[in-house]
Amino acid sequence: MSYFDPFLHIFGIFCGVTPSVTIGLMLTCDYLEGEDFRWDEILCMPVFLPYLIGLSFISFTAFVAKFILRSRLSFIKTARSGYNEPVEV
Amino acid sequence: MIEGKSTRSMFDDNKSILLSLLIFIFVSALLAMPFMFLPIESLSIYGKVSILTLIGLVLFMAVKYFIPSLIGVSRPGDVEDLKRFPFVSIIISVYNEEKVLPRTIESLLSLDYPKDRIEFIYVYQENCTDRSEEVILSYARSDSRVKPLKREMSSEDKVVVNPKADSMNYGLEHVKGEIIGFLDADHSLVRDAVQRAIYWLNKDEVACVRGRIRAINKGENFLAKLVGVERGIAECLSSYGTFLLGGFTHFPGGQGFFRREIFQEIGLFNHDMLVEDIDFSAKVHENGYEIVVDTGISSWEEVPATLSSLWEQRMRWSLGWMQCAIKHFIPTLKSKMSRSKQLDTLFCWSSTFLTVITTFCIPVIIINGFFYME
Repeated sequence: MSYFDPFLHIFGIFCGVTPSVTIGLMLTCDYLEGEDFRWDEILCMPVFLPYLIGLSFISFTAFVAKFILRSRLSFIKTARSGYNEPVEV
Repeated sequence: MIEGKSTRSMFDDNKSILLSLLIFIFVSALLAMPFMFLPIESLSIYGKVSILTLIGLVLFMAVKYFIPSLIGVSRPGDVEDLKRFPFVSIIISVYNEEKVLPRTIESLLSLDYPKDRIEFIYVYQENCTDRSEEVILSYARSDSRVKPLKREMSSEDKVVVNPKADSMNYGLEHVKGEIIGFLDADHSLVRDAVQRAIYWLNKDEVACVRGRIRAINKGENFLAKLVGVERGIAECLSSYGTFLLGGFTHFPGGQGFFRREIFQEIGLFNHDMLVEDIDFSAKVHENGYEIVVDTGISSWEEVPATLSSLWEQRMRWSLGWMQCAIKHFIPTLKSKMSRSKQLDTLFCWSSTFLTVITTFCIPVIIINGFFYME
């Protein structure tokens, strides 16, 4: 049974499947544009939602760091492309 | 580089993580309790309103990103051939990029654009600790389009929040192109990228053109694949759909092309901002210009392949977006943007904080949706 009314219940399912749907959309579109179908990326579908919730948690931590702990974090680039390292300034 | 106390891994400075975790568990438990033990009808009107507001926020955010993704499935077609080839300068900021530089330089040298109408300016910092300088100089000796530009670092330069912004600005002082491109040192561009960008920049209202960024190292491990897929959706479906809907599009920092006069009109990149690209994008829109998203301009970059690097990258992005939201909320209201773009931009600024609120709500809604089915 659901503690929500039917609309919110369906919405819960919508929230749960949307990220996986977008993966399917992207793969299909790229395939229709002439790229190979990237079957390996389908493996990401089941874990994509927890991954996004994890990313939201990082945003929340950033909020806590900035507005509650008032830490003055900044970042320096490491020796690897795309990698940063936080520093307290 | 910033001088300060380095935190070598995400676990060294875990005060904010620990506090976040505690708050998250406490608030989620508070929110979840009514759904676990009470039928929603028995809540007071205030309880119902607060829970429905949270749920509404999640709905709004899901729809905001899902609808552009549906629209973004269309792809831009071929662009017209250029009648004139303006001089193009591409600025690449370099700091310890020895391993990826050869790949990036080779991709730039094979761009489909007249050789005498393009230059690649590699701005590298004097404090590079690897062989970046050597790699750039060796390519510069064999191809005149590669121009090394060493940036001396004064003591003031070492304490700015974002040294990359200063490198980009330093490069701008030494360019001669009408069209300016910016590229991260790990990016490889498709061959027709410059021609496509110029096609769009010939329109007066367009200040910037950006493309689709794809992960080059998604085979490294499952996390890299996951990040690559997520970036693919954000960069391709969501950004392009937002552009088609006339919303707030942004220059992603790693890849983008501009008309040179834009910098004279709206200024340079701000080294006090953690995400100088989003800050500059906001200024572009506030001044009434467009940022075009053309998914035909693809580039490949390295995405984080470890949890700690992903955490640090997203912490920087989150803090940077919050910084931009605070700085640009009022200017957005007073700007020359169209009403729909203004609303979308305000939503983008708000969503940096809404994410914080909805973090608590998402698990409750989804658990309800999946596990309490009739």
